[in-house]
Amino acid sequence: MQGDHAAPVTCKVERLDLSMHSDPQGVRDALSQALGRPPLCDLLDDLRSTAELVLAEVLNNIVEHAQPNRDGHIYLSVVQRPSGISCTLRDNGLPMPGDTPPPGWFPDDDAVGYPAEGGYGWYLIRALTNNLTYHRLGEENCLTFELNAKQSR
Amino acid sequence: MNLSSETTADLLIVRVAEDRIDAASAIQFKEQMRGIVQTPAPRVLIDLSKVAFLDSSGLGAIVAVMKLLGPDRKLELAGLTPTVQKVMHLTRMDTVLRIHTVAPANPEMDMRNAG
Repeated sequence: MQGDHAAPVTCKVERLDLSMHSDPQGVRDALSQALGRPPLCDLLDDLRSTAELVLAEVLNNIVEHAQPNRDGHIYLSVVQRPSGISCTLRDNGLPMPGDTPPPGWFPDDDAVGYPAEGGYGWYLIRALTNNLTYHRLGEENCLTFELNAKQSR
Repeated sequence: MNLSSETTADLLIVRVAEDRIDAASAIQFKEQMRGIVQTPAPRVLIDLSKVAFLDSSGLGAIVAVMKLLGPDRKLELAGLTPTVQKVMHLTRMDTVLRIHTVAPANPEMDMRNAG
Protein backbone atom coordinates (compact mmCIF):
# COMPACT_ATOMS: atom_id res chain seq x y z
CA MET A 1 0.00 0.00 0.00
CA GLN A 2 1.17 3.48 -0.77
CA GLY A 3 0.90 6.05 1.97
CA ASP A 4 0.05 9.72 1.50
CA HIS A 5 3.75 10.47 1.41
CA ALA A 6 4.59 8.44 -1.65
CA ALA A 7 3.53 8.57 -5.28
CA PRO A 8 3.08 5.36 -7.22
CA VAL A 9 6.28 4.61 -9.09
CA THR A 10 6.23 2.58 -12.27
CA CYS A 11 8.74 2.03 -15.03
CA LYS A 12 6.33 2.86 -17.81
CA VAL A 13 6.01 6.61 -18.34
CA GLU A 14 2.39 7.52 -18.90
CA ARG A 15 1.60 10.44 -21.15
CA LEU A 16 -1.62 12.16 -22.11
CA ASP A 17 -2.15 14.43 -25.14
CA LEU A 18 -5.45 16.20 -25.70
CA SER A 19 -6.75 19.09 -27.76
CA MET A 20 -9.91 21.05 -27.02
CA HIS A 21 -12.07 23.91 -28.21
CA SER A 22 -11.30 27.14 -26.42
CA ASP A 23 -14.65 27.71 -24.68
CA PRO A 24 -15.96 26.94 -21.16
CA GLN A 25 -17.83 23.80 -22.16
CA GLY A 26 -14.91 22.56 -24.27
CA VAL A 27 -12.63 22.99 -21.26
CA ARG A 28 -15.06 21.22 -18.95
CA ASP A 29 -15.42 18.25 -21.31
CA ALA A 30 -11.66 17.99 -21.93
CA LEU A 31 -10.89 18.12 -18.21
CA SER A 32 -13.36 15.35 -17.55
CA GLN A 33 -11.73 13.22 -20.27
CA ALA A 34 -8.21 14.00 -19.07
CA LEU A 35 -8.98 13.10 -15.45
CA GLY A 36 -10.30 9.71 -16.48
CA ARG A 37 -7.11 8.75 -18.32
CA PRO A 38 -3.53 7.96 -17.27
CA PRO A 39 -1.52 9.48 -15.79
CA LEU A 40 -4.17 11.65 -14.08
CA CYS A 41 -6.57 8.84 -13.18
CA ASP A 42 -3.77 6.99 -11.36
CA LEU A 43 -2.74 9.88 -9.10
CA LEU A 44 -3.48 9.93 -5.39
CA ASP A 45 -6.71 11.82 -4.61
CA ASP A 46 -5.01 14.95 -3.28
CA LEU A 47 -2.72 15.42 -6.29
CA ARG A 48 -5.49 14.51 -8.70
CA SER A 49 -7.77 17.18 -7.24
CA THR A 50 -4.92 19.71 -7.33
CA ALA A 51 -4.34 18.84 -10.99
CA GLU A 52 -8.04 19.32 -11.77
CA LEU A 53 -8.08 22.70 -10.06
CA VAL A 54 -4.85 24.02 -11.60
CA LEU A 55 -5.72 22.81 -15.10
CA ALA A 56 -9.20 24.34 -14.82
CA GLU A 57 -7.73 27.68 -13.75
CA VAL A 58 -5.10 27.73 -16.50
CA LEU A 59 -7.56 26.65 -19.18
CA ASN A 60 -10.20 29.16 -18.08
CA ASN A 61 -7.62 31.92 -18.23
CA ILE A 62 -6.71 30.96 -21.78
CA VAL A 63 -10.38 30.97 -22.81
CA GLU A 64 -11.06 34.28 -21.10
CA HIS A 65 -7.91 36.27 -21.82
CA ALA A 66 -5.92 34.71 -24.66
CA GLN A 67 -8.87 33.80 -26.84
CA PRO A 68 -11.80 36.01 -25.81
CA ASN A 69 -13.33 36.22 -29.30
CA ARG A 70 -11.59 33.45 -31.16
CA ASP A 71 -12.51 30.03 -32.30
CA GLY A 72 -9.24 28.74 -30.93
CA HIS A 73 -7.76 25.46 -29.83
CA ILE A 74 -5.79 24.49 -26.76
CA TYR A 75 -3.38 21.57 -26.56
CA LEU A 76 -2.67 19.87 -23.25
CA SER A 77 -0.05 17.30 -22.49
CA VAL A 78 0.58 15.67 -19.14
CA VAL A 79 3.59 13.48 -18.45
CA GLN A 80 4.09 11.33 -15.40
CA ARG A 81 7.23 11.91 -13.34
CA PRO A 82 8.49 10.02 -10.27
CA SER A 83 7.30 12.77 -7.92
CA GLY A 84 4.18 13.91 -9.76
CA ILE A 85 3.32 15.24 -13.20
CA SER A 86 4.57 17.79 -15.75
CA CYS A 87 1.99 19.72 -17.74
CA THR A 88 2.36 21.67 -20.99
CA LEU A 89 -0.37 23.85 -22.46
CA ARG A 90 -0.16 25.47 -25.88
CA ASP A 91 -2.69 27.81 -27.47
CA ASN A 92 -2.76 30.12 -30.48
CA GLY A 93 -4.27 33.06 -28.60
CA LEU A 94 -3.02 36.49 -27.57
CA PRO A 95 0.29 36.66 -25.69
CA MET A 96 0.39 37.27 -21.94
CA PRO A 97 0.68 41.02 -21.23
CA GLY A 98 4.40 41.87 -21.10
CA ASP A 99 5.13 38.28 -22.17
CA THR A 100 5.02 37.41 -18.47
CA PRO A 101 2.52 35.32 -16.52
CA PRO A 102 0.75 37.21 -13.70
CA PRO A 103 2.49 37.22 -10.30
CA GLY A 104 -0.61 35.83 -8.61
CA TRP A 105 -0.75 38.08 -5.58
CA PHE A 106 -3.61 37.44 -3.21
CA PRO A 107 -6.42 39.80 -4.32
CA ASP A 108 -7.22 42.72 -2.01
CA ASP A 109 -10.58 43.07 -0.27
CA ASP A 110 -12.91 45.60 -1.87
CA ALA A 111 -13.51 49.11 -0.46
CA VAL A 112 -16.31 47.89 1.83
CA GLY A 113 -14.24 45.03 3.21
CA TYR A 114 -15.70 42.12 1.26
CA PRO A 115 -13.28 39.61 -0.25
CA ALA A 116 -12.53 40.18 -3.94
CA GLU A 117 -14.91 38.46 -6.38
CA GLY A 118 -12.12 37.63 -8.80
CA GLY A 119 -8.37 37.46 -9.15
CA TYR A 120 -7.90 34.12 -7.37
CA GLY A 121 -7.07 32.13 -10.51
CA TRP A 122 -3.38 32.96 -10.81
CA TYR A 123 -3.03 33.04 -7.04
CA LEU A 124 -4.14 29.39 -6.95
CA ILE A 125 -1.97 28.46 -9.94
CA ARG A 126 1.13 29.99 -8.33
CA ALA A 127 0.34 28.46 -4.94
CA LEU A 128 -0.04 24.94 -6.28
CA THR A 129 2.56 24.64 -9.08
CA ASN A 130 6.34 24.34 -9.25
CA ASN A 131 8.78 25.50 -11.93
CA LEU A 132 6.20 27.41 -13.94
CA THR A 133 7.52 28.76 -17.25
CA TYR A 134 5.92 30.75 -20.07
CA HIS A 135 7.22 31.28 -23.60
CA ARG A 136 5.77 32.96 -26.63
CA LEU A 137 6.80 30.74 -29.55
CA GLY A 138 5.82 32.34 -32.86
CA GLU A 139 2.03 32.64 -32.73
CA GLU A 140 1.70 30.28 -29.77
CA ASN A 141 1.66 30.56 -26.00
CA CYS A 142 3.44 27.75 -24.21
CA LEU A 143 3.00 27.30 -20.47
CA THR A 144 4.69 24.53 -18.51
CA PHE A 145 4.59 23.60 -14.83
CA GLU A 146 4.94 20.69 -12.45
CA LEU A 147 2.69 19.38 -9.73
CA ASN A 148 4.33 17.36 -7.00
CA ALA A 149 2.80 14.60 -4.97
CA LYS A 150 4.53 15.59 -1.77
CA GLN A 151 3.10 19.08 -1.82
CA SER A 152 0.65 19.42 1.05
CA ARG A 153 -1.43 22.51 1.66
CA MET B 1 -28.40 24.43 -12.44
CA ASN B 2 -30.32 22.38 -9.90
CA LEU B 3 -30.79 24.35 -6.66
CA SER B 4 -33.50 23.80 -4.08
CA SER B 5 -34.25 25.73 -0.91
CA GLU B 6 -35.96 25.28 2.44
CA THR B 7 -36.62 27.82 5.17
CA THR B 8 -37.17 27.98 8.89
CA ALA B 9 -37.66 31.10 10.96
CA ASP B 10 -34.14 32.42 10.60
CA LEU B 11 -32.40 30.05 8.19
CA LEU B 12 -32.61 29.62 4.43
CA ILE B 13 -30.92 26.41 3.30
CA VAL B 14 -29.94 26.14 -0.35
CA ARG B 15 -28.98 22.68 -1.57
CA VAL B 16 -26.83 22.49 -4.69
CA ALA B 17 -27.59 19.29 -6.60
CA GLU B 18 -24.73 19.71 -9.07
CA ASP B 19 -21.27 18.19 -9.05
CA ARG B 20 -19.51 21.35 -10.28
CA ILE B 21 -19.65 25.11 -9.84
CA ASP B 22 -17.10 26.16 -12.46
CA ALA B 23 -16.51 28.71 -15.21
CA ALA B 24 -19.22 27.09 -17.32
CA SER B 25 -21.89 27.37 -14.59
CA ALA B 26 -20.87 30.13 -12.14
CA ILE B 27 -22.98 32.88 -13.73
CA GLN B 28 -26.04 30.65 -13.74
CA PHE B 29 -25.44 29.79 -10.08
CA LYS B 30 -25.16 33.46 -9.17
CA GLU B 31 -28.31 34.44 -11.07
CA GLN B 32 -30.38 31.66 -9.51
CA MET B 33 -29.07 32.54 -6.06
CA ARG B 34 -30.08 36.15 -6.65
CA GLY B 35 -33.70 34.99 -6.88
CA ILE B 36 -33.52 32.50 -4.01
CA VAL B 37 -32.08 34.95 -1.46
CA GLN B 38 -35.07 37.25 -1.99
CA THR B 39 -36.65 35.05 0.69
CA PRO B 40 -36.01 37.06 3.83
CA ALA B 41 -33.92 35.08 6.31
CA PRO B 42 -31.04 36.46 8.37
CA ARG B 43 -28.89 33.38 7.70
CA VAL B 44 -28.36 31.70 4.34
CA LEU B 45 -26.63 28.31 4.32
CA ILE B 46 -25.44 26.72 1.07
CA ASP B 47 -25.20 22.93 1.23
CA LEU B 48 -22.25 22.02 -1.01
CA SER B 49 -22.07 18.33 -0.09
CA LYS B 50 -22.88 17.25 -3.68
CA VAL B 51 -20.36 19.66 -5.23
CA ALA B 52 -17.13 17.79 -5.98
CA PHE B 53 -15.45 20.68 -7.78
CA LEU B 54 -15.41 24.46 -7.49
CA ASP B 55 -12.90 26.73 -9.22
CA SER B 56 -12.13 30.44 -8.83
CA SER B 57 -15.19 31.32 -10.94
CA GLY B 58 -17.38 29.36 -8.54
CA LEU B 59 -15.63 31.00 -5.62
CA GLY B 60 -16.33 34.42 -7.15
CA ALA B 61 -20.01 33.48 -7.40
CA ILE B 62 -20.08 32.54 -3.68
CA VAL B 63 -18.50 35.93 -2.80
CA ALA B 64 -21.07 37.64 -5.03
CA VAL B 65 -23.85 35.94 -3.04
CA MET B 66 -22.23 37.14 0.19
CA LYS B 67 -22.37 40.70 -1.17
CA LEU B 68 -25.99 40.28 -2.31
CA LEU B 69 -26.94 39.50 1.29
CA GLY B 70 -25.50 42.78 2.55
CA PRO B 71 -24.04 43.44 5.98
CA ASP B 72 -27.06 42.30 8.03
CA ARG B 73 -27.44 38.77 6.67
CA LYS B 74 -24.90 35.99 7.04
CA LEU B 75 -23.78 33.49 4.42
CA GLU B 76 -22.67 30.08 5.69
CA LEU B 77 -21.45 26.96 3.89
CA ALA B 78 -21.83 23.30 4.76
CA GLY B 79 -20.62 19.90 3.62
CA LEU B 80 -17.43 20.85 1.78
CA THR B 81 -15.94 18.03 -0.28
CA PRO B 82 -12.10 17.76 -0.31
CA THR B 83 -11.48 19.83 -3.45
CA VAL B 84 -13.91 22.55 -2.40
CA GLN B 85 -12.34 22.60 1.06
CA LYS B 86 -8.91 23.02 -0.53
CA VAL B 87 -10.09 26.05 -2.52
CA MET B 88 -11.78 27.62 0.52
CA HIS B 89 -8.65 27.13 2.61
CA LEU B 90 -6.15 28.42 0.03
CA THR B 91 -8.25 31.53 -0.60
CA ARG B 92 -8.78 32.06 3.16
CA MET B 93 -12.53 32.01 2.63
CA ASP B 94 -12.69 29.58 5.56
CA THR B 95 -11.76 32.52 7.80
CA VAL B 96 -14.45 34.79 6.31
CA LEU B 97 -17.43 32.43 6.17
CA ARG B 98 -18.79 30.13 8.84
CA ILE B 99 -18.33 26.60 7.55
CA HIS B 100 -20.28 23.66 8.95
CA THR B 101 -18.84 20.18 8.62
CA VAL B 102 -22.20 18.61 7.89
CA ALA B 103 -25.25 20.15 6.30
CA PRO B 104 -28.38 19.95 8.45
CA ALA B 105 -30.65 17.10 7.38
CA ASN B 106 -33.67 19.29 7.95
CA PRO B 107 -34.27 22.88 9.04
CA GLU B 108 -35.23 21.92 12.59
CA MET B 109 -31.83 20.37 13.34
CA ASP B 110 -29.92 22.20 16.04
CA MET B 111 -26.81 23.68 14.43
CA ARG B 112 -25.22 25.26 17.46
CA ASN B 113 -22.66 22.49 17.70
CA ALA B 114 -22.08 22.02 14.00
CA GLY B 115 -18.90 22.92 12.18
